[in-house]
Amino acid sequence: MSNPSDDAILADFRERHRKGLRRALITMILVFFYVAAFSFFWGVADRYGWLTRYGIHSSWLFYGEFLPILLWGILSSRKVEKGPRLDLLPERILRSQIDHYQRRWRQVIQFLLLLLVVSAVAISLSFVKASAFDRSISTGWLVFCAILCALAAIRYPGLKVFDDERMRALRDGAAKAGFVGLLFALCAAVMTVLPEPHITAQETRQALIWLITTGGAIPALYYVIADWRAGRDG
Amino acid sequence: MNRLSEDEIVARLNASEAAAERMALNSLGLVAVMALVFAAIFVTGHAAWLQNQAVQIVIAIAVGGAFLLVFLRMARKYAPPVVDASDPAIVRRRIDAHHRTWRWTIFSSLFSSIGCVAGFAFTSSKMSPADRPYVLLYAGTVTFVILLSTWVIAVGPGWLNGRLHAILNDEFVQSLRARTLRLGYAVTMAAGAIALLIGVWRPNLAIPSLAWALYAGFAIPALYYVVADWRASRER
Repeated sequence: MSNPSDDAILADFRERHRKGLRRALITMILVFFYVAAFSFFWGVADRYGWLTRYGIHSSWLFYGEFLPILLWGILSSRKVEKGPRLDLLPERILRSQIDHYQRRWRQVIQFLLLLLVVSAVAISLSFVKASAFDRSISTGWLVFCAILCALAAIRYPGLKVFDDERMRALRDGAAKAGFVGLLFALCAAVMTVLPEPHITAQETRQALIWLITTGGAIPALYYVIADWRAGRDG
Repeated sequence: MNRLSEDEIVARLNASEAAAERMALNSLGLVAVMALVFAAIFVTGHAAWLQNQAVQIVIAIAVGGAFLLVFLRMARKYAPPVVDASDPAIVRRRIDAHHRTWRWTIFSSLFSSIGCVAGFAFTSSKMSPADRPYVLLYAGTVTFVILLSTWVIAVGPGWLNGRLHAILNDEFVQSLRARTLRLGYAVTMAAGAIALLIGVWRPNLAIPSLAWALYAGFAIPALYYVVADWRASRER
């Protein structure tokens, strides 16, 4: 078997990247429209009753239909990650491949961030109308999304390309931003909720929903922006 | 500015450390006394006037204000001398003294805020519109103390003074703070998630669980930082 030239390897990487980007975009658009369509109508207008029957709180159908979309996203990313071994690559291409993996991880975090925010809007809008059982399920879903988002930003994902000094510093920075941001948000929530005697448990739960969303979103946003800026600096 | 002699520096270091220890012990004592008094009142049912919400809040504000005044006075009067390029033998002592003072300060804020958070958690259901200004001031004091200590952990000791900050935050301290912040983020997220789940399960516990989530998110990493820094200082 003949060895491919550097240019051929580079072209292959770029093609993989373009394909992966297309799949990630399709996944994000599907998720966004799926969650948004069901939950915004459910939250804001009673006249779409035929749609709201299948809203985020009303049925297991929501999660049942959600799974294939998630599966599509996971399979797409797995297919793209199967590149050649990094230690076999010439130096010129190695940097390009590392950048490729780091871009891919940023896209994963962006996707999780979008999922978290859209779910938070959906759950926040429809919390009042939901049954106790559906509230528990959707709260679990939100916490799951927030934890995924947080772990993606502050934990080492297991690939060697994420284990250099810069990536470690980036993850530490994300954790620091998350901790300080979350404590500020908690203090703001305490300052808002406690002195107000008429505030209801319902409103406190809304505050907690957005608190968890903020906690998951801050390190993810920090990571995405800082990594993108570092990528531009080379 | 006159340079201090070594004896003066050592005397000021000792005074600074003793003041920080006193502050922490006073906070602990204050919380213990308040807890005992209120427990005795609620268990025995005597002193009905103390069960008045407004009186409790005024007492809490007085205690919180006294703590802040003591803190500010000690911070000004007993600040350890700034570390500069003098005898190398004494520089290490000065740096250690700064770290000890910060440790005691964070430690005392753990005690001073637990009383306030417990007060929030237990009285949140009895609030009336007349209490609003008191509670606002009270919550402001607590969040100020908590954010101040969090800022020390996040940015590092000596953050008001750039030169001192650079000297106190060596590689070891930076690594310790990074570990503390990772732990702090995980704990705060977990506390927020648990508070949300408790709020969904028992709506009447949503407000108390919010207050305890704030305390857990601040206290566990702060305690970790204090203990780890203290253990490291023993090995230096």
